[in-house]
Amino acid sequence: MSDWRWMLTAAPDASTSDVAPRDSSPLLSFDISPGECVLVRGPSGSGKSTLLASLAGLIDVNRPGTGRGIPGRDVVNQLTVEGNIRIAAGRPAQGLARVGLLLQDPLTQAVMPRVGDDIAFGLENLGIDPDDMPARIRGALDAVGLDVALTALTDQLSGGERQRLALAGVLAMRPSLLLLDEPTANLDIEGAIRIRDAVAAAVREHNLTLIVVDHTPGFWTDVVTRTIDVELPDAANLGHELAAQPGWGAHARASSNERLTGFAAILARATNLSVGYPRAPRAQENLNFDVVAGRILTVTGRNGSGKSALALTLAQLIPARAGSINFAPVQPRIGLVFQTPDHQFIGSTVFSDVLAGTRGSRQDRDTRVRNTLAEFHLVGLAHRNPFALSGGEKRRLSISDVVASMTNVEPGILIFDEPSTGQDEHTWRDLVLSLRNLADAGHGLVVITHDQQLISAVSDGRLELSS
Amino acid sequence: MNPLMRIAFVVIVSLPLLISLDVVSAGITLALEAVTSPIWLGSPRLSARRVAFAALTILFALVATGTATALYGRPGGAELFTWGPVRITELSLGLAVAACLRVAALVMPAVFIFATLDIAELGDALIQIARVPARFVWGAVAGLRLIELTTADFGQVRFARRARGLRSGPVSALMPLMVVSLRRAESMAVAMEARGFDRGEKTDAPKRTNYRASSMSWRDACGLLVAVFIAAIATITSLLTGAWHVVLT
Repeated sequence: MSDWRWMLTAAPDASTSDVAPRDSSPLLSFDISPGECVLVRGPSGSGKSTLLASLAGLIDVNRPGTGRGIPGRDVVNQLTVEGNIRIAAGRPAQGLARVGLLLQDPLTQAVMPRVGDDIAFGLENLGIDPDDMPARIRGALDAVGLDVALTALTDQLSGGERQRLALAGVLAMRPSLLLLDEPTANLDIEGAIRIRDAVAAAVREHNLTLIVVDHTPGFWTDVVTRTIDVELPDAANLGHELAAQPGWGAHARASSNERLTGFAAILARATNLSVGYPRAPRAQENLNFDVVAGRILTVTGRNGSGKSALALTLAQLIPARAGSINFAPVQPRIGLVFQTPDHQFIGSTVFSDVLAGTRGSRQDRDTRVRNTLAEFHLVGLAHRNPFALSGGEKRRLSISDVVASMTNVEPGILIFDEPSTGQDEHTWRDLVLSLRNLADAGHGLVVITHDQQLISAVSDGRLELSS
Repeated sequence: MNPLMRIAFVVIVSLPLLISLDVVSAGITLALEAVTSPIWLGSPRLSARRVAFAALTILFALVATGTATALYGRPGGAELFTWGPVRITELSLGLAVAACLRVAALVMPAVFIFATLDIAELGDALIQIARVPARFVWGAVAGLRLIELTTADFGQVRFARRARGLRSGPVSALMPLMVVSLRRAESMAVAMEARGFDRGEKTDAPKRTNYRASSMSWRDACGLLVAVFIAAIATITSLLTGAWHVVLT
């Protein structure tokens, strides 16, 4: 079996030949040998998801196993993916089974209503003999440590369980190349570790080749054998540079220690608060905490422990089920950054979307929007449609929307539901600084997150939601 | 019974009731449906909540039909009660009873069958027995799942717009909801394609297999016979007793 070889170039016409165009300033060029485990890192918006999708043959109409790369083109995130993707020679029947892709969103990965059927779905598509399926399905469930009945409803699994189910669906297909696109982005730390361990075990047992895109530094260290850094095609445009050294969280922490420690006004006080979505059981009961001006309260808890319900309750979008939230005499302005950024976009461009939430004279608003876009590295994207951004860029835009709507004159309560999703080291560090600046300006922050590094970098107080 | 045959059962049994509105055919059909329910219901995974929901659905349909027909139905015979446009007569009361029986006979099996139908099993039957192409069937199943996700998205979009100080009426949330749903659909399509769905035409890939065989057995044949039998008895008895009453005339 020969090597896998990928080459993505920025030059449009260079790749029509069968020979890999090494002389055409490749944007990214790498060979991966069978059995290697590779972590792909890179700035948010640099096309990592696009890369994986092309490797999986979803974008490039590449035929695995034919030994030839067929050039394809897809414009995503201002990056023209153009290249040859060659996957080791082999019979087409094997080729189909070769590449397994695990995506980020657990909600949309389950195809069938029941667990067993869902894993069987991929096997059916591969044309596996139905008699072999039960054993493969059981084996895949065991491999990911998911102990549920085959008839269990996929809708009733938690986020972490769904993601493990998706992994089981991929593993059952017995891929020799496993592609993971931020597989733990929406999971609590325990769920993330279980996914990682299941991947590690599968890689060991079946001698898989692994390519994983992830932002959490150090999380995959024990699994991967090397790291590939993807860079932006036009680095000047977005002003990125990769801070490669580990431990940058500590840096952010050190600089944030210089913050002003002024008054500690209580902006909101929750007393014996119970939260939960309307017409659903209560998710949490008897919560007592304060949102204090100038301080950052981090909220942690497992998937499904009611963190998002707490955010909605604090923002007064759903009523408290019991207990009360008392706000400061001058009602603070409340801003909420939702977990799914798509839900809150209202403008047709990045600029107008941020502008929509601001107040004051037109000139002030423009200035404010420009400053906020600069702070969150979105200047180069100001005229793009919000929905056309990458996952990490959308996240930063949704934060910008809320940050720009706050003024430095009156204190506000800012609630962030998973603000660090999809951020690279550079934008992550700037996010930490921005959160700290907001607190220093006198706002009270509530940060809901699974990101342990973020907690240790910004937390002034913790609220742990039991499950 | 095979899910597809269960649906066929309901359709066959319903035929006489769609043509005639009379107490005899409706009553006989309802009674025979109840007696034969083990055949068409199979071995249901029915929770108490689902039964209660199904019963409520049927009850609602009965009350609505019965009241409307009794109050406003074609008058005839002795007048029992009058108030403005409301005229309850012997004929309208009789029609109301017939209509109630008919609705019950039509709705009961449909409600219970769809409450117990496994969408994946129906998909298997459509592909293997009705020979519907897999891409349409599983595409539709994925679409059904998308409806649930979209319902949840709808709430979130309205919350998000309110949080940003915008009107959050149902209409204003539609545009963002559409964008979000399309992205979800895209994401789901990618997930399905990544698992090898619908690649058959492009490559010399092996033929798609089926995890669960969906076939017709003697039970299905018996079930269909029973359905024809019920329809026949209801029609013949109704004709013989002179109760047969074609709706459209």
